[in-house]
Amino acid sequence: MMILQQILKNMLSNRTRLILTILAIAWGTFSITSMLAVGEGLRVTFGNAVDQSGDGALIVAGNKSSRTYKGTPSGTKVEFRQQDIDNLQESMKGKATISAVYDWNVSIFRGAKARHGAPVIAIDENYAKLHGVKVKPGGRFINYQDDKNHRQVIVLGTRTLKKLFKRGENPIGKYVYLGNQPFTVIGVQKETMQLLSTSSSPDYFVNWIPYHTYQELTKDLSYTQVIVAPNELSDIPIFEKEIINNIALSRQVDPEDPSIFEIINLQKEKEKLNVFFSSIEIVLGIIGALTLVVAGVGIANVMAISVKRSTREIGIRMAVGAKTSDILIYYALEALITTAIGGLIGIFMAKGLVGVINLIPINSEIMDKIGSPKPILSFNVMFFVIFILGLVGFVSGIFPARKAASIQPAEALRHEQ
Amino acid sequence: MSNDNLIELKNIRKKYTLGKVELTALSIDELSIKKGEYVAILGPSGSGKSTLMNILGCLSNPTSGSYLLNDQEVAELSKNELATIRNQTIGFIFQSFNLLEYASAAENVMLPLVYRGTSHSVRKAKAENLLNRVGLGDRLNHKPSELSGGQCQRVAIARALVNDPGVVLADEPTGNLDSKSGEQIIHLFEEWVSEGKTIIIVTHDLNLAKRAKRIIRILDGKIESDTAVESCQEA
Repeated sequence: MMILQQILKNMLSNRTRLILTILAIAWGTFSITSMLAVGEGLRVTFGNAVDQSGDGALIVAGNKSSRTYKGTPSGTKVEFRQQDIDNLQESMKGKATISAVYDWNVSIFRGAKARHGAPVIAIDENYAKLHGVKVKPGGRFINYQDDKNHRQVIVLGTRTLKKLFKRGENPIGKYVYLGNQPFTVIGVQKETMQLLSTSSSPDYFVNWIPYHTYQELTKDLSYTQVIVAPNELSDIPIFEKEIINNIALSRQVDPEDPSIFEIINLQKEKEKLNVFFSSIEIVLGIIGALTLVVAGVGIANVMAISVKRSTREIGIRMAVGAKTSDILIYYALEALITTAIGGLIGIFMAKGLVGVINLIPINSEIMDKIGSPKPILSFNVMFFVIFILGLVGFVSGIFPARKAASIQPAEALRHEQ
Repeated sequence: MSNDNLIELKNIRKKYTLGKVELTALSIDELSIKKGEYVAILGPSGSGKSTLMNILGCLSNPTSGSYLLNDQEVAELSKNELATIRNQTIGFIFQSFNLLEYASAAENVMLPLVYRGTSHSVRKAKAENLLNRVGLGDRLNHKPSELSGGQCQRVAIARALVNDPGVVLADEPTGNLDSKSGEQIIHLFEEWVSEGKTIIIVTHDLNLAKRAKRIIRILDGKIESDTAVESCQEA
C-alpha cells in the first residue's frame, strides 16, 4: 500500500509531467479510437448496403444470338414467353422464387415536361419479394391487387420525379402519361445507396408499373428478364444451365452462344463487393495501425523522459536498499496507472466526439443515399487500443527504469534532475 | 590482521576513462576500520574521498582490489545482496540530503524500512522515535521543501539510522549547513559513537575532521596520512 501511495504522491507532486504524459496518452487513444470508430461506421453501413441488396439471385435477361444455329440466323432476338416462365415456375417449384419483368423503354409525360426513354419496369407479383424497393413516406409500392386489376398506377424513381415535378410538390395521386395512357403516381422510390441491383439500372433511374397493366396496354406477352432467387445458393449454377438449355432448345439457338443472354449472378457480384470492402477495411486497419504506432512512439517518448528524469530518485532508493525488482515494480505500476488514466480520458473524449457527431442532424440527400454512415465506438477496438497503448507505456516505462536501476547507485545519484 | 575489522581494503583501485585517457581516481593499498571507530576521511575536492566513500558504501564497485565488509568479499555479492547491505548494514548521509521531495519527513525516514519489508505500524513507530531523537518530533508530516537545511539533514540522519546499521557513512554532512546546524549534527554523531556505532565522515573541513578520533588524509586518490586525532593536534 505504501508503494501505491508513494506512486500517487510522486505523480501528483510532478503535475506538469503527469499532465503531459496523460495528455499524450489521451490524445493517442482519442485519435485512434475516433478514427477506428469512423472506419467501423463505414464498414457497418456498407455491410448493410451489401446485405440489403438481397441474397444471391440469378438475373437472366434475353439478348440476341450471335451465330447461326440449326437454321436460326445470327441476330435473332431472344425473349421469354409466358410459357417459358410457366415452365420455369413448374420445374423450380419449392426450390426458388421466380419473378419475370418487362423492361419497357417509353417516354413519360406530364404537361409540357417529359422524360424520354425512361426505363419502366413492368413487374409481376413476385418482384417485390426479390427486389425490395424503399418508398418514401406517404406512398406505397405496387401490390398484387394493382396487377390483378390491371390498375394504371406507377411508382416513380427519383430521377423521373425531379424531371416531371417541382421541388417540394407532392406527386402522390397526380397523373403522368406513358404515351397517351394516364398513370396515377402511388409512390416515389426512396433513394438509398444501392451497390447491387436486379435490374440493369439503379433504382433511382427506373419506374415501376404492374406487368398485367403493361400487357393489357401493349398486348405484348413477352418478358425481357427473369429473376431467380433460389432457396439454396448452391442451386444457382444448376438453374443457370437449366434456363439456358431450355430456352435455347425452344428457340433453336446455340446454348453455347454466350450472347443469347445477359446473366448476372448476384452472389458473385456480392462476393466481389465483399472483397472490395474487405480491402477498405484492411486499408483502414493499416492506417489505424500506423496511428497506433505514432501514438505509441509519443507515449514511449514521454514515459522514457519521465523515467530518465527520475534517475536520481532511483539512485536514492537504491542507496537505502531498494532492489532492482523494487524499482521495476514501482515504475511499471506508475506507467500502468498513467496509461490507464490517459487511456480512459481518451476514450471518453472519443465517446463524446462520436456522441456529438451523432447528434448533428444531417439532412443531406447524399448522406441519405449512402445510408448515413455514423461513427461507431466498438468495445473491441477500445480494448485493443488501451491494451496496445498500455503495453507500450509499460514497456517504455520499464526499460529506462531497468537501465537506471542497472547503473551503479553512485552514478544514478550524480544524475541531475 | 585481526578479525574485529569492520572494513578491510586491499589494493583497491578505481579507474575512469575519459575519452582515451585512463584516470586512476583512487589507489589504496591498505586500509582497515574497526567496529565503533569514529573516522574522518579528509581531503580537498577531487582528491578521491567521495569515490572512496561510494566504494565503502557499496554504491559503486572498485575497478580492482579486495573489499571485505564484515569479513565478506563485496565483489562476490549479488546485486540483491548489495541492496540488502545498503539497506541494513550501512546508513548514508549525503551533503545534498537526497530526500524524496514529495514525501514527508516521516515517509522519508520509513523508506529503508519499506524495502526491508517492515510492517507499517513498526515503520511509523520507528520513524517517529528517530525523528523525535533528532529533534523533529513536531515536523513528521513536513516535506523537505518545508524544512530548513539543518532539519533536512537531520531527517536524512534519521533515515540513515532507522535500520540500525553497523556503520554510518556521511559525505560532507555539514557542507550545506550553517555552523549552528552543523554543530547539532556533529553532536548527534558523537552521541551515536558513544553508543558504539561506527561513523565515517568524508569532508574537506579540518575542523569537522578534528572532532573524529582518527583522520585519514587523502590526496590524489592516495592515503597521505592516517593518524589518531591527538597526534594530529600536536602536529
